[in-house]
Amino acid sequence: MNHDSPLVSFRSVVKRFGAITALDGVSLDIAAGEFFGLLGPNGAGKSTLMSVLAGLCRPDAGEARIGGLPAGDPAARRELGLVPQNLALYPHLTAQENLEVFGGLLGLRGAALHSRVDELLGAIQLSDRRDGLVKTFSGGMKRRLNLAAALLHRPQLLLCDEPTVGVDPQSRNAIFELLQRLNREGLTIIYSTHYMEEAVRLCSRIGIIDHGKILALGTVEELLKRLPFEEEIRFPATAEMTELCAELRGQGELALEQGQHQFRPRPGYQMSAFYLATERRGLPSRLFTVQRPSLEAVFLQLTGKALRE
Amino acid sequence: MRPVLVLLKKDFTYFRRDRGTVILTFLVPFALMYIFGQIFGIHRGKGYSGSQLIGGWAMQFLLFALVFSATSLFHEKDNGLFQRILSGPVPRSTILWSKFLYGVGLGLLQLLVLFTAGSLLFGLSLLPHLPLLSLVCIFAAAACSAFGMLLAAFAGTPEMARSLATFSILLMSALGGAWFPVAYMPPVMQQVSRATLVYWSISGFSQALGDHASLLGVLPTVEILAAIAAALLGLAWWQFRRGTIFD
Repeated sequence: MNHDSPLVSFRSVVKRFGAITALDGVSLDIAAGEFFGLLGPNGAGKSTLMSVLAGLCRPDAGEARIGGLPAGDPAARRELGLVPQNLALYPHLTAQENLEVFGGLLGLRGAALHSRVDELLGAIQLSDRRDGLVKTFSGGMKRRLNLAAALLHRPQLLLCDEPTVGVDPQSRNAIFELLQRLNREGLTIIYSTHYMEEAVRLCSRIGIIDHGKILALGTVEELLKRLPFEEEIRFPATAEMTELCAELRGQGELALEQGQHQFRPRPGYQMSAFYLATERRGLPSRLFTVQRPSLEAVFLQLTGKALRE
Repeated sequence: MRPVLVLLKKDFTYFRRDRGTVILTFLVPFALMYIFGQIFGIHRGKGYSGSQLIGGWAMQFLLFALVFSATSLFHEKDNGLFQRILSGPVPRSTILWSKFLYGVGLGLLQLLVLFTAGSLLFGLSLLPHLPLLSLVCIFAAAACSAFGMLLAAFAGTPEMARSLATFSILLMSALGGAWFPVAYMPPVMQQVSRATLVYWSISGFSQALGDHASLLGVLPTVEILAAIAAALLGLAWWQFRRGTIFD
């Protein structure tokens, strides 16, 4: 593998499924050691991008490379671990048997396989359930095992396709901590999610994707700088706020989401003017929450719709 | 080869743990064999009739078992298992070879177990004929396994595969002499019977268990079964390459 260039590169990748364009000219570089996030709603093209990189489908145009090798090349596949969105496990085998099957398929055998299986079961906190059939596991346990199966052969690159769907908070944290530790040890991770909080917590750089296009790319700070406002004020959507809302409408963006108003002031709007407006109407300050905008706002600005519908 | 063996071990572990499948593979055909043996009055020492009865029922249930085994490809695809396996250094052919060889192995096991049971029930002389019988069983199982793969390749969904299987296996079993001797059929139907793998399998069993059984005697039938297996498997693989099972 070529160690001087980016570890992963996409050049104008296009992939169509019939009339649907799943990837529309995606170009992207990911350096070795990055924890890169792909953030987008369902149907944005995240899984298709992962499939192209894993060699599971060929692009209709463009190319994807891992370490200079074409995606799908057997040498590239040996350096890659895939955590599929589905729970790709054999339910009638035990946790240990599942890892032994996948390890065997990856070329591990004998003492090396057993030792690696033991190590991973310990890392995902399933050592005491190694002889349990996977069909008896909780969703969180299955997700942890799903992750471990991709790490058996110590890949250079890990593709995680929404690995925490349907997982309890404890298992989610365990998965996050493991991934962060592995990334600190040098593993390059591409992590796709439609949960903004995950992307912000885990990823050093994020690509926002929708309708097969990368709409924005950068660190969280770089992406937030694209917004025309630096703060966001949330308050309940009650009758007493009606007059305030009428005043605020010309001063920035005012949106309604899940029973709460979100006010994003235009550049130059003074927060003191906001507080004066609330005081004039006798509205207590405890009703208002001022916070930094989120990637949700970035996505809304880029696409005109919410990240989660 | 090692990845094929890994997947084979996995499939046999699954089989061992699935009590329902074990019962359907061994006990149900044994029970039917016994019942029909009583109905047809299979007598001890009448080797030909006994081998036809045992072979007929064994073939019918083997075909069902192997079609269902092949349709497990759909479930593995839906569970994302192909995504995981094929993202690694394992080619698609490994998955198909392992399913085919699993069918051959399971088929051989089933046939030998049922013939052993049948030899106790109906007095078939089995031990002296075991090498020849095993040879026929291997190729009969290969033909059945290839048939299962073919159905899975063309069906597109497990439900369609099961519907096609029920119709085609019952038809083949009836025509092929699994339920009653081909000799009972009109001459035209006896010729049609020769177009089924069930016919050739039962013929092979009878030849292997006959009084003057020899390798040269069973070889033509074994060659026909091998040709059937090769043709069905080739067609199945061609269709798998065109289809979407691995997408």
